[in-house]
Amino acid sequence: MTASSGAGSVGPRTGRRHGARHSGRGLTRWLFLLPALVLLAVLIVYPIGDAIRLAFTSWDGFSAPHSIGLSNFEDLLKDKRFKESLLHNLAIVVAIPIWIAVPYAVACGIHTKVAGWRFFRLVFFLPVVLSPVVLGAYYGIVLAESGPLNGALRSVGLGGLAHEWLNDPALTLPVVIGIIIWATFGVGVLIFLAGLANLDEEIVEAAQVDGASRWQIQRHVVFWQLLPVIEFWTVIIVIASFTAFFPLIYTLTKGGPGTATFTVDFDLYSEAFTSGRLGYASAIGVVMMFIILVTCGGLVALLRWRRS
Amino acid sequence: MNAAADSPPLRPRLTARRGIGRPSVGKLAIFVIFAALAASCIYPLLFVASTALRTNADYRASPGGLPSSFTSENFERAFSQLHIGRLALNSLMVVVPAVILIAILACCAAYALVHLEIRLSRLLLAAVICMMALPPTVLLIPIFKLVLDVGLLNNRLGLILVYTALNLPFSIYLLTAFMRSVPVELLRAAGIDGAGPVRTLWSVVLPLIRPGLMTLVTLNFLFLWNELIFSLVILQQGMGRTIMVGIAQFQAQPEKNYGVVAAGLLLSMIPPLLIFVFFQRDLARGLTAGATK
Repeated sequence: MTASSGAGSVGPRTGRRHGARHSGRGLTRWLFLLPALVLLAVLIVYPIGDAIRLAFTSWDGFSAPHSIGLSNFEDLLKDKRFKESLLHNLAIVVAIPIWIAVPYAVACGIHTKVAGWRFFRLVFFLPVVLSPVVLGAYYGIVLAESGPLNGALRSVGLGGLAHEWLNDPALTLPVVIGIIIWATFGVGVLIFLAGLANLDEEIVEAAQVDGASRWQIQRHVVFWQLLPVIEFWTVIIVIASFTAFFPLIYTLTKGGPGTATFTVDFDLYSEAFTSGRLGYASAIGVVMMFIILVTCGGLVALLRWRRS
Repeated sequence: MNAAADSPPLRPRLTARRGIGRPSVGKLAIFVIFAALAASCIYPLLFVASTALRTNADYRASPGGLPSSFTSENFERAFSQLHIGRLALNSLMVVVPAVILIAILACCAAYALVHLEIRLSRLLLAAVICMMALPPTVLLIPIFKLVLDVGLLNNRLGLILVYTALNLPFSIYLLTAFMRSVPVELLRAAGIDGAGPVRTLWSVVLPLIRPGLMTLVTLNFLFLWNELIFSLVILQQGMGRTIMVGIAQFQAQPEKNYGVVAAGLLLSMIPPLLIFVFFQRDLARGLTAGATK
């Protein structure tokens, strides 16, 4: 159990040459692996290639796709809604520090065994098990103009704070991002708690003996020991920031008001299955894949560089 | 961010009691923030349950308040209008086979990758991990095309296979960690006793990795029960839709009845909540896998 999260290392070691003598002849071994490999090859590896091929075609979902060269990508450059979607994803990326800080702080709070910490640990996990569809429908009702939140604000005399949470172009995207952070922070708390449980208590105690303040310990001891876990969580949410928003947006805002909450994954879905432009949507998918590859690759490279 | 916004008042009694023990402002502040956050996590359940149990007129009178009278009408209409029973059955008919298939395939694959001497096993595992990082949305259109081309669109089998493939990489990765904890000596002993790889997997390895298997099954069930986008695209036809698609479409109607939506939401939450109550530990184990290794 050393500290290398899945962040980018080429995976745990498996090359242990052992126990092979009993394992039968060559082919039977592969028979264990084959069904999974075939399924992955057909439904994941092949589609990746097909996604790239389709990006250079025009396809309406009925007739056969026909090749149109680069014109999907040329159109993307002029596509206002797509650019706006990209900007919204950028806003989500900008919110990532909050997405890291909230579960980190909560996990540290639980780790100090604040009163009722067992209860909190349990309850903070509750939103995680609920479908984004359920959360979207729930917030759709609660945040409605005449919904309970505005009602509560008005009844305690804070009517000035009542907003059209889901119908205000400037407000709705932050609301959606906030809901996603809220819906996923329970996983982060669990992950950070697992990291805190593996903390080297001796170093913490040594720091206490040396008279370090609580904040100094947090800043110089705990933080650095948790860094691999923080990196692990960061990679998870970077991927999630491109893919976790669709179900919530689909149920909560449908990309609206106007295009205020269009994200790249929602734009891809709408182009494909609302406008029937599946080739064009494939081009969006390819751009998205490229962006995630570059972002994650850059992130991993940055982390490696910093570590050495 | 705005998570604490809709929180009901916290319980001052507990805060006060804690304050007596050790008067620390910091701890009190943490407690207050945690209580507000906890309220925002519990409130959805309370709100959905209370809205489902009251009439629409009663809801409009005080949306966030408590019901003044109870009715079962919303639940009846969730069955007759939203067809929640049918939708739940549809979901089960896709999710259960997929979860079983994933468990079988992932078990065999992880066993082979870790314990059977397979050339390229490191490379294969690295490939599996790369697939985990792949955002499924990227695959949406080519997978749709593939399912369409082989004639499995609007067919449960199509969605079952897609779900299985999409969740295999994570499942294989998760199980390899458990596979590694199986002592090699035991496998050798089984081999000396004349057990082949199938027999060894079934009667030696499986009993030892049962916790891992439980984690895998609960996590996959939860993921797939809650899944929306692939289900939306592959099972488009009215009567075959899964529960999340049905609810998402029903609640999008402009004339929706809040009570019926809430009743549907409440019923759709039952499986996830059961998992939450009974399999907490398995979920936690699965979701933190990889974080501390």
